[in-house]
Amino acid sequence: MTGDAAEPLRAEGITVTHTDEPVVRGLDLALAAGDVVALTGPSGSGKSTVLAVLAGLIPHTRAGDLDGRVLHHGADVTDQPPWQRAAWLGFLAQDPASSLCLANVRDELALPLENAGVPRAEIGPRVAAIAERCGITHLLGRQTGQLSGGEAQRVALAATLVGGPEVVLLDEPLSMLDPDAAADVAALLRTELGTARGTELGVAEGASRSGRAPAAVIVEHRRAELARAGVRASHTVALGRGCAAPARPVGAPGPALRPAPTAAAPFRWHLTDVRRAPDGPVVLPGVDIALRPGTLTALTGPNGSGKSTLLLAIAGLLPAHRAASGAPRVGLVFQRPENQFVTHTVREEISWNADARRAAVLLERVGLAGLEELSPHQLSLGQQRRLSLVAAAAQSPPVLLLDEPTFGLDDAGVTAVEGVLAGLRADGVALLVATHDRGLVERLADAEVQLSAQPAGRSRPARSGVPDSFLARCSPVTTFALVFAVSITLLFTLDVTPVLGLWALAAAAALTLGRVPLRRLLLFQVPVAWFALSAFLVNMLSRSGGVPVARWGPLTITDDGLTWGLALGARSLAIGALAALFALTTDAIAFLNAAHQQARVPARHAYALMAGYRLMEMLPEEWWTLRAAHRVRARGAGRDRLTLDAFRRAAFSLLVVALRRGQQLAEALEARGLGRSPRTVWRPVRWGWRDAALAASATLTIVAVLAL
Amino acid sequence: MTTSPRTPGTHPLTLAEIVSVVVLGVVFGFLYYALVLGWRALGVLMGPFGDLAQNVLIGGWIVVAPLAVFITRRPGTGILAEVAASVVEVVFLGSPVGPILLLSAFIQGLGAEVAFLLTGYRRYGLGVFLASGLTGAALSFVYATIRFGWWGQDLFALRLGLHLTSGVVLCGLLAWAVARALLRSGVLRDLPAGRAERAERARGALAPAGQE
Repeated sequence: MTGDAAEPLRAEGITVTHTDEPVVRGLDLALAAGDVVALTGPSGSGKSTVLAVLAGLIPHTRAGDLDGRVLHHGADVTDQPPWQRAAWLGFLAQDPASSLCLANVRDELALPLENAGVPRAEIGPRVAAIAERCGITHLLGRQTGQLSGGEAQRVALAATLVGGPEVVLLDEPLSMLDPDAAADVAALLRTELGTARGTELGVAEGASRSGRAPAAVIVEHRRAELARAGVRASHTVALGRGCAAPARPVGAPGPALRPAPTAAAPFRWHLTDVRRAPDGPVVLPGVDIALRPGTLTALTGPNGSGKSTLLLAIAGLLPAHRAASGAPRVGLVFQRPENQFVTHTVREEISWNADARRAAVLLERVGLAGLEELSPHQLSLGQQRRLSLVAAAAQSPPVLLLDEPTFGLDDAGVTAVEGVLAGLRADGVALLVATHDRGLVERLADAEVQLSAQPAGRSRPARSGVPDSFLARCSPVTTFALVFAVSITLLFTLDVTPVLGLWALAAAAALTLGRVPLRRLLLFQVPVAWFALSAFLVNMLSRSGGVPVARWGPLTITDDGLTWGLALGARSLAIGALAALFALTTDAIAFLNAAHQQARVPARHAYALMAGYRLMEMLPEEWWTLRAAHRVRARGAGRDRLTLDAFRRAAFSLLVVALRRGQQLAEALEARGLGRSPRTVWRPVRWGWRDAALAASATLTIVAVLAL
Repeated sequence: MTTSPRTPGTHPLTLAEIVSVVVLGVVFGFLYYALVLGWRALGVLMGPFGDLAQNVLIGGWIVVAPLAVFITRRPGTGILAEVAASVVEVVFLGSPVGPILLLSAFIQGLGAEVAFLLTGYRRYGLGVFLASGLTGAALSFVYATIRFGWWGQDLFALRLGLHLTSGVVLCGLLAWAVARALLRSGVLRDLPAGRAERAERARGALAPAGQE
């Protein structure tokens, strides 16, 4: 059968097999213009796989064998790669954190238009128009890394729509959002999708080829989610239980009835001046918490009210709130389960610092028995969440804190997690659960602690930006090349005087031409100074040859060693100052842009680097979270220091998380059409008189150093 | 049937592969920077033998090269990952070693790829990893000997021994262990290393049992 030429999307007989197991079998799906199709089914039924096929990720970037055809207006596009499909298709992945690829919102929205080769003059107005439509105009100047989940999802949705696609594919667009943010995004979906939008926007928009709302396939993560959010689906495609996920009894809870709260004395905390970082703003001025064994206390409140911070403080993970010696042992389950895995298999994971027998019982209880030999990272989100719960519970802490334990889970996942919580409560554990999930609160909470919203202005401190200056306005390619050239010149001299002169010159240039604050410059020089000092000491102590000038025990200092030590120490200082001159005055994104446009780095490589830069900005925070999660888990064994072993575990977890995020960013970039040609550049980087002036003075410096 | 159409070594790098190499570079850029600070501390602690600290640790700075080649199965990615790591160190962290680090990184990456080149980028067992550490360390030793004038020093043989051993152990063995662990984590599933492993297992399943 051939598809109807009027249908923007049709799938016929889609079967996806992965390592010999069919994940999706014989699916047909047809989408007429303006249709909204809801894709439903239990976890493991292959909803995301179907979307990956429609988006072209399978077979192009993800593993899996594909049978069947995908048609676009009757033409077979099964072999069309994702970046080609971007001409008519928009795709939005589940996790907002990994679907934004660039460092700031404006560039993020411009990227699909640049990739599509839209003329430069049109890009600005179209970015402004889509921002207006999606209600994100106030976010245009923001950094993507500092958006809340709801803001990030709206920006990602705007970037999906900006090119005017005929079809959009949305993977559980509301699942990773709290109720307020989900309502915002749902409102956006109501106005942007479905026939309701029809023609009235068609004229004003002018961007969309068809001038009407795109057809959509939306994966639901909870039953009737779209209907409840007021998004009308024209029809629903329900997938059966996948063949890959055998049905397991899930979450058989403890006693069905709540045990009467025991008379045991509650654990109490009195916390004041709680802040996330020692120099950060106060998140909670003062809180009293009492948790009784065998009860579940819900911790609720809007985003930014300090729920997570309070959990960290109670767990003793914030510097000012170290656990006192007599305090009860506290377990903490983090929001992203992948952060707290410390071993390579499920079996090792649950028995790490824990009672292996208790762990095995718990594992059975949550329906994960049989998966012991898999890596924790291979499990689905729902399975990972249950595993992280079991791993924490198996350490038998009298107090267990949980951060959003039902976040992103489908109905079955929520039931399973609630079953575990009920069981732990019956076992006499004191539970504190930070959550937005009213259902969980109503079904399980014995008590509720509500935090109120913090006054505005409490938001995260802005990233320490690069000050506007002479150097910031030079092309970063020029600055980099010159710093490189001067640094290389330094290798040809052992004279201390000109090198120290250059050091002073570079520091002065950073302060004046770069307008770097003195404090930042000095902080940056700390490791440099340490490096220079050690270069001096090592060379002084270990150079053989020359005339001895001093001797202490086995250590001999020769004049040769002294000369080399001084020369290499001074060289380290100067090179460090030059590095500061570049790193502290150059915006990284401007550097990568210039590398792409002026140094002709190909677009795919340049954007891979930008994705890498976005990840790099996330890494310190990820590292802190990983270390905190590992510290909580290690405390069962009384270990809390950064040993080599702990470092190794955290570094490996970081690598896994970063590689996964990287692949998600690559998919997002290709969904935005990166790889199509010809592409335009919205904001070109140009050489200017400053570059010439800088080059001239650097040349003079090089000549001076060599001549002296 | 549309199967995953690629065999290793016949296609240009996909975006996911390039990004993965960059990600490796970023993560190891941080780790390398930490190792630089550790190296200086070790150097001071070793007193009169402080200059040998770099020979002891050299392998640690080459780990990412065999790892990148292993994951992508493509020539050049080892060099790319090493250079990316050095750019992170120099440009973003402001390493006091300075921009010359880019050259060292290139040479170390090139050296580590020699072993894979000799197998035609086909074999990825422990032996090849160890050989990669050895060739990486060997080339970097030649470079450092020229740059620092090591030739003719009393300690030359000791230096060479430490340098090569470090390459085999800290680079080869460590990279192999990390590669195995990454493969088990499933994060390489859609990358050439994961595809190759599944293909291998499929072939193994057809062969007579008795592997275990």
